[in-house]
Amino acid sequence: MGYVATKGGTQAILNAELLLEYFRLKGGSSPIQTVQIQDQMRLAVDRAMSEGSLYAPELAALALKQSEGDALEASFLLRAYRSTLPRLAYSLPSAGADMRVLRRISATFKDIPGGQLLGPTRDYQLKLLNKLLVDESDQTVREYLAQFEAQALKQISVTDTKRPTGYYPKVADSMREQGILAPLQAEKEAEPYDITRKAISFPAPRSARLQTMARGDVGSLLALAYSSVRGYGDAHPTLGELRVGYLPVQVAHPLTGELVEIGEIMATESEMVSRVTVFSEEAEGKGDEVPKFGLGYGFSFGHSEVKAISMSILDRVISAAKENGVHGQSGPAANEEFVLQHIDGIEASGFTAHFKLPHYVTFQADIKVLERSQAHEALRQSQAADRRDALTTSHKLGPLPIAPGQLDDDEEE
Amino acid sequence: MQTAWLQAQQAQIRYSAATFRQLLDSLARPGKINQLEYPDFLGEPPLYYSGTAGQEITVNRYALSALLTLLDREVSVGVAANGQWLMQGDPVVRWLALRSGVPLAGPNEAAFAFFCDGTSGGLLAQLSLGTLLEPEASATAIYCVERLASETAHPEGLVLKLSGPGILGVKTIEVLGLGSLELELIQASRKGYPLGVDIYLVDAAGQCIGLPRTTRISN
Repeated sequence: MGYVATKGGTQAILNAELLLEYFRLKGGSSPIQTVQIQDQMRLAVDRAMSEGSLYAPELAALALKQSEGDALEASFLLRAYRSTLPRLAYSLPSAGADMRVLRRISATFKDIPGGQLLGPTRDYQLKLLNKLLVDESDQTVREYLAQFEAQALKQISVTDTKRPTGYYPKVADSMREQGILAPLQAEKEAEPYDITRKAISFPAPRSARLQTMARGDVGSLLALAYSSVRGYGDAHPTLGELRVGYLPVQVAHPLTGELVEIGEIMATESEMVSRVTVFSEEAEGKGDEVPKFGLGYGFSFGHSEVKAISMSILDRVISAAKENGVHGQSGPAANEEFVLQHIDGIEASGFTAHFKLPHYVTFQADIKVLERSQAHEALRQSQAADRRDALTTSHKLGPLPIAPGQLDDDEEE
Repeated sequence: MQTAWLQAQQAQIRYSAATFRQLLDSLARPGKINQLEYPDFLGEPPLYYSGTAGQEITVNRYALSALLTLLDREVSVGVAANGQWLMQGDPVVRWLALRSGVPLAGPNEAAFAFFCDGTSGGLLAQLSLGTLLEPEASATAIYCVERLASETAHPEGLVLKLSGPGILGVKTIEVLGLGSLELELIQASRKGYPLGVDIYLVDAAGQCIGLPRTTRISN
């Protein structure tokens, strides 16, 4: 077989798309409304926004509907849409301390300034299927909401209302005051790197690393962070603070330059604290700095705790490796290039999916190479067999009397 | 009021998408004449002083709107008329900046260059050609010409014979209103291929051709 064209099949492709739509709808149940996805599949929407790197809950819900819940496909749709949008303005830096907090916990101290706030969490639930949800109805939902609101109102009336609700000091700040956490280092670059405009190159600035991880695939981040804390690395981090809430977004007014708050986004922020371990002998003796904990930072659009925590572990591990000049010696998760090149779900799934495309010509070339090496191997084996035969024959002949004239010929062989 | 504003927004989004496809097509098929849409949502285009006309005239609205589809805050632009770069605060520059947030940049940094007339007066040579590592960092230039035609009818017209990727054989285009020195400037800019400037020519009726750096031009 020679050249195989990859044209044709248009009708088959069109039919495949029709069939896909049929499979989405064939159950005959009433069509799911995107607002239902937005409200009730909150975490799936958040994941699509986070990995698609576009904060647009309505569009994320649409993407999930279109992709039948496939998280990678939904984030791919969002990121593709994102690429068509013009940049109207740059948001100004906002600090985690400005977050209107729904949930904030710390594993370093029980009594943190402001206290622990559990907020909406599944952390303490038993992993039991709740069969009641099967029969959930409009009425049960209404009853629950009424009951919840009544109870919440009662509780709010007895709590302290002096403090503005939802704003908490950062645990990291109090650790810095205590002198146990390394002080914030000024950014070397005036402007953060923009991975959407310029391909990442290594060694990468921290801003590029954080951006890449912030839109990374949660599973990939998790696997690498887990590898590092489980044994393929030397990270022993403690969760300094995890907060979930609403972060204000500000821009400078294009004409007046004044700060304008244009809205808020829901976000998750994680700060992981760990001892900076010095591996290399060179770094061991250098400087007389007081040993301190280092901080790893994690951030995600929406409510995504596993992602933010994984990201903060990886940030800490990579920072430690770079500070000490060791790359990947303490496990793959400490190798910046390895981590950052493999955590983007859209890139990784795109590359994997491309194997489904026709590789007929590539494979023909592979077959040609294979056939050549098979022929080569066959030749090699037959030559070896010939040699063996010759040896056995001469061995068998050996004890036999040899005619004087034959001797020269045998030797030549 | 609100709905009128919204309708203009919708019209601009649709126009941008359609025009962007046409601009892509023009680069994919060099010398193919594409008719750009009339951007009726944009109002009156700004004025510039034209040396040849001896008075202030409006900028080619098709070309200016096509340029607008390519601009946002991430890119930068340089605008020239009568062989001189226009300054910050010039009506054309302000018009673009107000609608897209695009910053004005020096000629060797601008991602896009817009020549209000068919002569750059040598300014084309100042534009960025990209680097061998990043040839995509080069500039894209738009010339406003008087008329483009696929048949040669005017003795004063400049005849361009185009060949290269995207062209079956040789394509002949007649251009009115492109400065006679521009052809040499364009040819010189692409001597160091893959470095070079990608060019669009847009005429007064909104006809557009692309001359990417891969296209060989002779007359």
